[in-house]
Amino acid sequence: MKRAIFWTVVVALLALLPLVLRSYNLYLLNLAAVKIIAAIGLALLTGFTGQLSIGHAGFLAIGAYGTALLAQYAGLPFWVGIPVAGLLSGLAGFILLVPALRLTAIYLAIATLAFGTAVVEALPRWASVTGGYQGMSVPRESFLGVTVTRNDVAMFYLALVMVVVLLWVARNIVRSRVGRAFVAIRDKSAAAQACGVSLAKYKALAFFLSALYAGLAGGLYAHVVGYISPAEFGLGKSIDLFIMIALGGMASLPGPVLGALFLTYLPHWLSGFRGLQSIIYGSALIGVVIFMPFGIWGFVRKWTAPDKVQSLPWPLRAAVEFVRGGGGR
Amino acid sequence: MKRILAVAMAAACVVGASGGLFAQTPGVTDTTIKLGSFIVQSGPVAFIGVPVMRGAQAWYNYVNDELGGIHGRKIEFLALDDGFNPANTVAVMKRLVEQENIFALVNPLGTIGMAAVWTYILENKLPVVSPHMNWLTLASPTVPHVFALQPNNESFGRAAAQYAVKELGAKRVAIAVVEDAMGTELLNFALDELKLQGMQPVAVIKYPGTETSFSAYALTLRQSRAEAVLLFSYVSDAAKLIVECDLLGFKPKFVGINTITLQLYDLAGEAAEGVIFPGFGTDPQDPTSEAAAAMRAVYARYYPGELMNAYAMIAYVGAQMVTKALMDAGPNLTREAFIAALDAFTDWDADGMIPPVTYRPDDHYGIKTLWMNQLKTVNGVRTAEFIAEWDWTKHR
Repeated sequence: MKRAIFWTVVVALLALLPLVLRSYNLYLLNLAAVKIIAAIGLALLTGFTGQLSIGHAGFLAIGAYGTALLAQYAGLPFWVGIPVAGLLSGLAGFILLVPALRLTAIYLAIATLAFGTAVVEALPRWASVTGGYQGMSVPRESFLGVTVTRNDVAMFYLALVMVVVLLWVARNIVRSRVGRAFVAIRDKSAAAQACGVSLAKYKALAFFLSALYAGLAGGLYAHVVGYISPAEFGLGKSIDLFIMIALGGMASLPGPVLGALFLTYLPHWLSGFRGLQSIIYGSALIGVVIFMPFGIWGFVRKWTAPDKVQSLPWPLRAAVEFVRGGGGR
Repeated sequence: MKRILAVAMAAACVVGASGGLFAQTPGVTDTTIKLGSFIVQSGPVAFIGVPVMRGAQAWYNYVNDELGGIHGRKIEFLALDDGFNPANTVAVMKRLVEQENIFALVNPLGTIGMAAVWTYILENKLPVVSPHMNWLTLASPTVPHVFALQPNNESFGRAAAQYAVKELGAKRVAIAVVEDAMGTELLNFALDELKLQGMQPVAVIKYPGTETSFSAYALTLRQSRAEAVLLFSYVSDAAKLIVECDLLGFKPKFVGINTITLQLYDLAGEAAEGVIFPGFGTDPQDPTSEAAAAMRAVYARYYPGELMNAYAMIAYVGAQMVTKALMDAGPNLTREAFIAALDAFTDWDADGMIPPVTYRPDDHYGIKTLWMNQLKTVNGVRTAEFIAEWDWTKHR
């Protein structure tokens, strides 16, 4: 109960942010929300189920283009377009299931890489619809008389709702029978099978969920930025997503959130350091990997372990214990 | 009392910052003018972004240090790295406009970023001067506050096709084109121009931007027995293709676009001899040009030991255009005066560094005339020799 109140207060405080932040900062938060959603999706697949994917930007592209094209050609409003495009992306996730049932580890990674590349190559071929390499503008939409697309405040609330709902859903999945099946497959698929976990069924579910999350993130992205082009969904984006969950802590939900926030803000803080930003960025990543082998969240958990917390001064100790509550995982 | 004063001042600052009370020109104070830009400084396109940023920065520094600024105001040039990623370009633009409150967007780089922020620029009526991109939309149709400088893909695509057919007399024309936004646009204009001449290309080879092996493409070109090949490629790809053609003993006339520079000699060696390409500026390393020598001196002062290339040159010229317009706009600087000053530009050529530029309220096209050059070895020195002026609108 206490924790429910705590999180309600957190969300309520976040909802007040548009009163103090200007549109640039809101826009960055919106971009962060897109990455958070996609990273949670990837964490479900890679972190919890142990299926490596480095073609995830392909699902983002399906979601983004799906939303934009549904708006442009079918006139579907965003609150229909984003979920429909997300579902489309989720169904596309089954494509990856075919190799995933036969391949493991790095070989699966190669297959997913091929998928990601194929999507990005296919989009510009259909230039009359997708606008080709030039990309396309996302049609402007209104909701209850307010322009929504490219409106940072409106998008902030949409992003907030999506993040809260999708995080909550992911948390419940992870703590359920399904989540335990995912972890069992990751840790030892043969043992999982011996315990009656259907590999095909749960892998399919993991791919579907992960692609669904990425698709929803893509749909949000299309309306936040208002412009999409194939080049944005290339290999670099897939690797970025992977770095996010590796950096934040893969097999956790706070991990991808922290990783996504870190990777959204770091480049912007560094954009003033001309010529040096790549070096600082690279060193920061290497530093995290060396000193926080289980990601940022792993690091936080290590330093808030019960024996460490005992030695903390009182106010800090109380805060940590309160937030941890009945176990964060 | 002091506290009341402080509170009142803070309140005034807040109101002033939100633009409520004072109808002041954005980005302009009594001592400074703030100009913003997005120029990629990291990743694969940094090799263009870094010289562009330096070229512009060198001139703005020089104006501040040696000419005392513009009507007593120093220029603050705030160029942010967008990583050549449109989502970041949007963020950068919001920061420049809403936090930094810039006067104008100058020397921005990259079509894809510009496309993403285009609506935003139009909505904010933000002046844009000297954008570094070949994007047709910048100047067609005319936007009152956007001034293109570089020729666009229509100019390059049509001029290349016209030159191959009319000047070189080629009956069989082939096209090699990189598959991206630039290549697609160039290809469409070239195809249209060939159609106007009653021709079809004998071969069109499209290759992905990540291609590393060009032997198969060279073979296709040889089989097409083309007399002229239009090269809509980046310089490194063009070099590989030319070398492969040379290895097959296939030597058509190559007509390139503005991506081709003297660098092609370093990359392709002998095979680059005779390649024709359009330019729109004097090579900054040209030993015969006084304007180029002056430019090199300024550049060397701020970036000692760095070779000034064509990207730095056009950014430098673009920056000169900005400061001239600021100067012409007079001491009471407003965006309207700045735009009016640009609209009055007549045959401005940066001391002969670029073909003359004339702006009128209904014409913000920028450079129209291309300078066709040919790679040639003269007395053992590899040079780009000027061969003709070409304005595609006059060859219809």
